[in-house]
Amino acid sequence: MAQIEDISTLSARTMAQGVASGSWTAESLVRRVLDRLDDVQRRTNCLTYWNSVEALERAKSVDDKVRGGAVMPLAGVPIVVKDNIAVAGQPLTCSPKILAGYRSPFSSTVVQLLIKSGAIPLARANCDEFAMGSTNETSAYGPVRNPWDATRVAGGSSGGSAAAVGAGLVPLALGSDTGGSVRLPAAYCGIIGLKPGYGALSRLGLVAYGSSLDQIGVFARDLNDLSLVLPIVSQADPLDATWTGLRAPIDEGAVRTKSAASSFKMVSLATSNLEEVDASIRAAYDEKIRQLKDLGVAIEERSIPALRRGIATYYVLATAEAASNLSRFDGVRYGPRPSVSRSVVGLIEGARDQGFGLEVKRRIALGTFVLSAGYQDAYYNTAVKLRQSIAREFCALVDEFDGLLLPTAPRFPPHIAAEDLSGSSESTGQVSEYGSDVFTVGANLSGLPAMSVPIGWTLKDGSRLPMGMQVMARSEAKVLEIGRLLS
Amino acid sequence: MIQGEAVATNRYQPVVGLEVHCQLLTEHKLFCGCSTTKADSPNQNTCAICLGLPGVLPVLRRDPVELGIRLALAVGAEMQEWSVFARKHYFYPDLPKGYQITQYDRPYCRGGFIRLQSGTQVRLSRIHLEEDAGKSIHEGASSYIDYNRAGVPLLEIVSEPCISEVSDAVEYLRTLHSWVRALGVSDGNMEEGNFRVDVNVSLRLRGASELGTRCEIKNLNSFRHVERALSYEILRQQDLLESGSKVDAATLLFDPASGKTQVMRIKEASADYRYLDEPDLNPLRITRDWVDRVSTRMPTLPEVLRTRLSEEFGLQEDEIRLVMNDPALTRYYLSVAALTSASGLRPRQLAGWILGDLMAIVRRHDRTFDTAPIPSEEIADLLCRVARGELSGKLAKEILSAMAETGDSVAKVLERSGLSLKRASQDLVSMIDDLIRASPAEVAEFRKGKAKVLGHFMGQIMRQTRGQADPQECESLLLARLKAAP
Repeated sequence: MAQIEDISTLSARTMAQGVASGSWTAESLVRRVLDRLDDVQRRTNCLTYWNSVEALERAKSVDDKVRGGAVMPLAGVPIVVKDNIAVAGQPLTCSPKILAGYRSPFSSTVVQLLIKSGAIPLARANCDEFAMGSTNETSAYGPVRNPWDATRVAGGSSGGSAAAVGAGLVPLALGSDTGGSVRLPAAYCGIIGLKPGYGALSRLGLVAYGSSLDQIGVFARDLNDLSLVLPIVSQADPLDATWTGLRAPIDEGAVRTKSAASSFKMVSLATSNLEEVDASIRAAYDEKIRQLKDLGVAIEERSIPALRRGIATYYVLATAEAASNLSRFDGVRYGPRPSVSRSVVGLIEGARDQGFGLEVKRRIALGTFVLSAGYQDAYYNTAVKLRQSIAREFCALVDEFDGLLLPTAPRFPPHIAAEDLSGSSESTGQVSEYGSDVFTVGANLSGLPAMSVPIGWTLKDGSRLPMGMQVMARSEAKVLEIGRLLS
Repeated sequence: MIQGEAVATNRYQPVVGLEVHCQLLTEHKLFCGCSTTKADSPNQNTCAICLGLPGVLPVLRRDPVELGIRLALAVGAEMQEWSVFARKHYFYPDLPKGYQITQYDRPYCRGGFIRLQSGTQVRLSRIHLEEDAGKSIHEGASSYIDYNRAGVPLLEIVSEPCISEVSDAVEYLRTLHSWVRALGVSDGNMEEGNFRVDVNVSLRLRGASELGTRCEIKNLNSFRHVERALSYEILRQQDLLESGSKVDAATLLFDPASGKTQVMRIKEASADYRYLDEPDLNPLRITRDWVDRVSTRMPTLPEVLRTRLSEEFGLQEDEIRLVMNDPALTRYYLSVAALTSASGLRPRQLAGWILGDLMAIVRRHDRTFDTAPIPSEEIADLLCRVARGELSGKLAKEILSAMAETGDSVAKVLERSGLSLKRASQDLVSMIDDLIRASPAEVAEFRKGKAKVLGHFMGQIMRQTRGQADPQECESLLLARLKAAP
């Protein structure tokens, strides 16, 4: 049995190969992860649930199957699952109080596919309540701290998943991305975060926030792990009418090597689009562009008007869909409800008032307003039309070019606002915080695949912080290929 | 209770629109695989999807759409190739997702009509598909929710507000009801709430184009209730307007005990359901091909059937209604008709036998025509023999009774009772021959062309056979033997 030197640097692929070849067992992998878990949790508060007994049982079951001759491409790989993605028997709380005590009776399709391949969902990740937020400070479990600077946020809404991979606890984690919630924390935590194209992965089992925008996304340290995982998790699901699968098959070989760079032509952003970007991030972005050019990639500078209109359009649509999707949380069938209520209205109002955090309430109110009679035309219907024009603009670009290169986050992760673990810490300037999504919402509005990759480090206020940039392309395969060029 | 007809002389004209929610006769719910059959206990036919648990998605099933297409074809509605599902939001414990998935501004069909017997056409505005909510059960200080019904597929059938007579409203509903049953679209069981009626009524000054304020009477579950509620409400509104008051827009419930409508809630403005196109479902595509396939598969359209029953089978209005109201009887009738079509059996004979004799037997045995004591093939056999002159009507009735009691075929009954066809005729022939020999004078009269003497012979034969003989058979045999006699 081989010795695992440092589990925090092993890729998922290596882990699974080791289990398949008998170099180590799934159980030993899980034990090594569990050994590190408390420390990572203390540092980052990235998890909301874990069960060592359950994890080891799952590992042993995988070991049995492998011994019995089963071929499992992800055998023994420990993963972390964002708390808004269902795993049967595990709590599903989305980090608010309104689902306290709720355990999902079924697993999401993506998790089922991963389990079938031998992966072990051994912990659930902290996230912004109902996936609404960019700093992971709205969680009832307290904020997630950045593994590189504990005074700063890990990003949101999938902060816990990003921190878990960023801290080297697990090689892969699942998050969800509605407006940038996988890519943003990936940039903040110095890892890779991929949002597949809309419909690539089944949404069954993902607690819906913005149904026409949501996708389950994947965090990884190693690009090759993504090419391993994507074909597995993108399989057909007849129970998701919006599933369409990957836009093009993944060629693992193409991702492993830098393909002929000179055959690529890409778009980078014009200065006018980059005004709000922090100088260090801007410098790193420019440097990467230069490196690509040196490799022979043809890069054209373009100004993308769609970026200006994206935020408002996104927030009108996402909050409308969120208000709709969260209507089911009424305290009647699951979750806590007020102990005394005089009427049906009182019960529902009480459950929602007590169960939802401030940011969620804010977005529900906004979403209800933009759909309400008299305002729907001016706000929601207008946003629908704007979305179509934004999508057209991005789709035209990815048709004409192999890829679009954008920053991911315009700024560095902010410091954690208040050390308030009660769940409704109010960031000052909430609306300006919405602005951190400026480069990410385009991919959700247009349904295109997009990925954030780490591009360097900088020193800021005495901490070494990672930086990321984004690739958008017409297929997940193309995104991965370009990611290889950037690495 | 004064009927709506009395209002016709008044200066106000009722303007009535009807909305029917009709539960579809499918095995499964609209968006999940749960069963729609009546469950023994609450919350038995539920799953994560119809309970709206976090993370679920709806998946549209084809069967409910097929049934929707059938009804659309029957009423001549215009099928929309593309239609869209929408979320209708409101909070209530029996609505698991906090929204109902329905169709809003793009239903799957528009228009259509149902023709009443008077020739009046009641135009339909639209029909659309939607899911039902669960049921609230109130017991004392507690309320319980049963989600067995949540997610069950419904058709909402909306008429134009073009009805002005109470009788027309009732006839429209009865017709629609019989059609959905005949088409296999719904069992139309009103007691179980599978066919629910909402009535919208306002009064308009005759000759004026401006409509009055509308009130909605909800959840009427019998035709009688519709009739009484509508009549009462028209009078109530009329009294208000005549006395100078105005009608307040309201949602009303009908109280059968008092015969009055009561305000459920005042409608200030129309409720804001914040409709949103359903992002989890693709638009519904109903192709020409699909419609054609449904058309070949579906039971006979009511109009076509009605025409057949009237023209081909010579049925009267009440008989037609009787047959069309009972899908099992319809099937039975058509089956027997097909099996006896070449026998020479006359339509009125068929009607008499099925709707008279057999109906009595079926009722006496407390069965339905699907479980009739005599299968359609057997009665067809019997009727063919009658048509061929092999059996007298009277004998056939006896045989019919025997068949119902014993379940035997015609042949077996005849065998059992010792009656053989040939022998019966032979007996008759010798009887006639004896008669002819015994009445030479009458025979001579007949030869001279006096057909009246036949009556003498017939009388004799009837007396001797104690009325058992079939008159037609006797007559033809008599003539034959008379001609053959020396």
